[in-house]
Amino acid sequence: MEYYVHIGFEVHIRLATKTKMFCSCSTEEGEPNTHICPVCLGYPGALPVPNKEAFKYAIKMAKALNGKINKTVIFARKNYFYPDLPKGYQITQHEPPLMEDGYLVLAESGKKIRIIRLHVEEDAAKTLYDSETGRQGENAFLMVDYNRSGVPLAEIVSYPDIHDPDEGVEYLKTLQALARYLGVSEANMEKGEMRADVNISVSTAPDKLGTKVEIKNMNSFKAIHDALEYEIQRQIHALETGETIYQETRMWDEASGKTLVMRRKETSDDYRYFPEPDIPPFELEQEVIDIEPEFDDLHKLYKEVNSWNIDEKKVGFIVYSPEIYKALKYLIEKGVPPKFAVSMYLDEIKGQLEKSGLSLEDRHKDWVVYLHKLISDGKIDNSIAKKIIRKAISQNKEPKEIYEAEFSGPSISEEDIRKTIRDILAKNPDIVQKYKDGKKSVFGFLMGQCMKAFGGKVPAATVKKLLGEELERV
Amino acid sequence: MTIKELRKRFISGELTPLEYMEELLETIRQKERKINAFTHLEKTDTLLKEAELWTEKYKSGEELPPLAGIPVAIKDNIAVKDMPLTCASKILQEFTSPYDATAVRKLKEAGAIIIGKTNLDEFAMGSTTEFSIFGPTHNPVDLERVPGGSSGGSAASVAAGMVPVALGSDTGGSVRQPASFTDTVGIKPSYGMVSRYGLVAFASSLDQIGVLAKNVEDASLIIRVIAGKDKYDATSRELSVKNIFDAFETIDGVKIGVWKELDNHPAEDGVMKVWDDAIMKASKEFQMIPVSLPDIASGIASYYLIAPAEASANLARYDGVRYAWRVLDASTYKEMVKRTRTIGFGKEVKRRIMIGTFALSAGYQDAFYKKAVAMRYRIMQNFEEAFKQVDVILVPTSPKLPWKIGQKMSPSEVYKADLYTIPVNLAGLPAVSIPAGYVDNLPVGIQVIGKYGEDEKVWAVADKLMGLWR
Repeated sequence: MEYYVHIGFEVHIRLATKTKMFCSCSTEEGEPNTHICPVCLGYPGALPVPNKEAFKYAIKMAKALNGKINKTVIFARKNYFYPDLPKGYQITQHEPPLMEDGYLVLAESGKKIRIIRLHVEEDAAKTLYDSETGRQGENAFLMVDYNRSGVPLAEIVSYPDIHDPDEGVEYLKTLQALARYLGVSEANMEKGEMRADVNISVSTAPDKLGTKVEIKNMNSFKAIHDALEYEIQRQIHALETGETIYQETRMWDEASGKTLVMRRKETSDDYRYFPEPDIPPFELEQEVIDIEPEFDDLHKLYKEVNSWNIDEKKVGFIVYSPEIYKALKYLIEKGVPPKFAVSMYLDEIKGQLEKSGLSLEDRHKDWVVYLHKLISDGKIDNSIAKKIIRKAISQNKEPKEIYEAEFSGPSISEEDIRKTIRDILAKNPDIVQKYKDGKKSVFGFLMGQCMKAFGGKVPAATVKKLLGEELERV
Repeated sequence: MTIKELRKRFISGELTPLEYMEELLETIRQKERKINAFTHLEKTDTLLKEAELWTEKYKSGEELPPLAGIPVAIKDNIAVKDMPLTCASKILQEFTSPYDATAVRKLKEAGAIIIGKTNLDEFAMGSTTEFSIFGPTHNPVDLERVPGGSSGGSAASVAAGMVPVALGSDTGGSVRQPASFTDTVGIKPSYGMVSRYGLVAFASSLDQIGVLAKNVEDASLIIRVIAGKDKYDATSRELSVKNIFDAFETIDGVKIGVWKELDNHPAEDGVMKVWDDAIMKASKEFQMIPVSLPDIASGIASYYLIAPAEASANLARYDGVRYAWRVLDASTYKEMVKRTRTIGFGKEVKRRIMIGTFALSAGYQDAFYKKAVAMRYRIMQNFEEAFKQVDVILVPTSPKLPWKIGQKMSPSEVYKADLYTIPVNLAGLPAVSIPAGYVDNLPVGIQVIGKYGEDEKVWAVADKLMGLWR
């Protein structure tokens, strides 16, 4: 029997505004319950006033998802009780959403995933469970941090166009990278800036959807991948053994590596949506409508990076990392060969920084430009460039300082180099004889002797060339 | 004594804010036990100290803000920083507001002294001020009768002379009907004129802060102080009002509409007699034109779906999680919320939450909530049509005279008593209830209703009519 998997996502992305959606509290992280006010606590008499800045971010995402933009904003109340929902309702765009009928092109495969809608809404507060509050047993409480309450979100709902866990992760990575390229959100899953709920069904016919199961509580790409793998197998097993698959919400349990039933839905939820009477409908301002996103298709980027002829495994990583992509692009435009740029910037600089617990900064791009210039001028070689990087990082200096102090010296004339080489050859007559007899492998030994004598101040390529010539003359 | 006169005396030194405050506190001492207008009174020491401070400032002769030293009472569903904000409900009985409502902030900035919080029907749902955890408020006109509601405490405090002016709130008549019942003036401004920030929401699209006073001038000058667009209320608007102490606009040639269909929905006999007399007196001064408002009687059906629907969401925040009172011995979140709300809300509040929840439910929303909204638009159109012919429209304030406290009435009977006031809220219009006469010593009020944003004109006409009818 063949099984067909349909996966759809509801993704929440935190919009990078400085203040909350309906009050002027900061969206920054902070000690629990420090960025709060009567409005985001749902105090009696407090009223929401929309933060129109949020739409400047949301519109970029909406346009990059290629759908129809609705200029009229109508907020609605979505009613339900939950400890982290201070007003007993969430203020959200219900009908119409900011964008409808869009699509996202996956970065690597180029596949189109259809998007049902994107809408703007407020986040709920954050519930802290026993493990996070440190309270146990008798003292156990559910604690709520309202710093997150009212933070603006864009919710993006896809059609169930995704057919396996890899594709699911590719969808999310593409969406995340898009948000970052657009400057809409940092979209860090670990920080909860991007959260994904998934709908999944397995059926025995390609054009038929199975019973829809929702999975929540996945906080990383790996968790989502694992949860999807598990759930697909669970549902296939159920179909094979004739067990009922219930329409329900399941929770991913990281510890056991299983999805567990959270609640079963006999009927669909009734949120009793109605227009938010505290916020009159309004039209988006022209300056918001006119905002055009600077990136729209990550697949194009993928093809571009692929054409750099670099290690294939690094292409995805670069495309999904806007800062790195932008830096490499800058280097290539400066005439640095892609392979060199990737090896120095990504492997050396980023690698070494991470070992020291540091991260990339803007100035590091220019390190690569500088080192590339030295190499082009024949002043150093790759291995010296790497040495310079290491020293610059460990000594917290600029490569220029390191180079000038340790590797440039008074430049050695070609004649002096030849002289030194000739001295070495004179000291090793038997080795030179072996070379003359056709044992070319001893070249390496001689090369090593020379390099040692120059103390790294003469590029290997130069030494190699001159040593070859001197050997011929002997 | 009007506020203008008070201020004049404060400036001349004929009367000091301290002496005036002492007078009011004496009146409160004598009457409050029988009337029960207040849910909270500021400490006497604090009030006297504040009044003394203003007294000193008046003596110094410096320029003082317009309401310097004028005491004001605030309905207990409007936030005053560091005072209780109970909405007369068990669920908020332990709640103290950490902030000022915008209207209160403006009053304080104008120099007013907040004397205390006044009684109301729980969450402003009612028209008698009987349904309060603080017990019923008694009508100063006749202590055995209700003062109307839900701003009954504010109306009674003004009627009894305990305070010159008081803020109320009007969702379906809650300022105007108590004004009518207590022989006072009640202004309900155009929707959006006064910020709702800090007014505990009952039905957000209908709620408006209003004022109760002894005369139109006092009530209107308070509105002039608290009006204006507020960055904390997205529904607030900048509607034109005069400077606080300016005279009313001239009303020469104003055409007054008289609601034609009143005969199909008449008030009780005594009220109709006062009404007929009043119209006759008015017709000697004004051009009176009968106008048709054919659908406004359907306002009750529309209102009693829209208001509960909005209330069902507005009152969802009282779940016991964040503030005020909750049951302490529940073992789960769900049980805590359920029992807190079951015990914390009174019967009428729960009735409306149930009606509203039902009206919004999937499968019923089209038949109830959406139909009610459609009817609301029709009522708006009724008024728009009528205002093509006239500047203001007269309608009685209440079909009933103030009834006895404890009188048994079914909910629908009580709801029907809001027949004349509700359409004004549905259409968002400005209105004033003014005393028009008496039946067996019981007061009868009549409403002057105006075009949206023409509050000043309504007040000017109301002031003139009140002069004719008194």
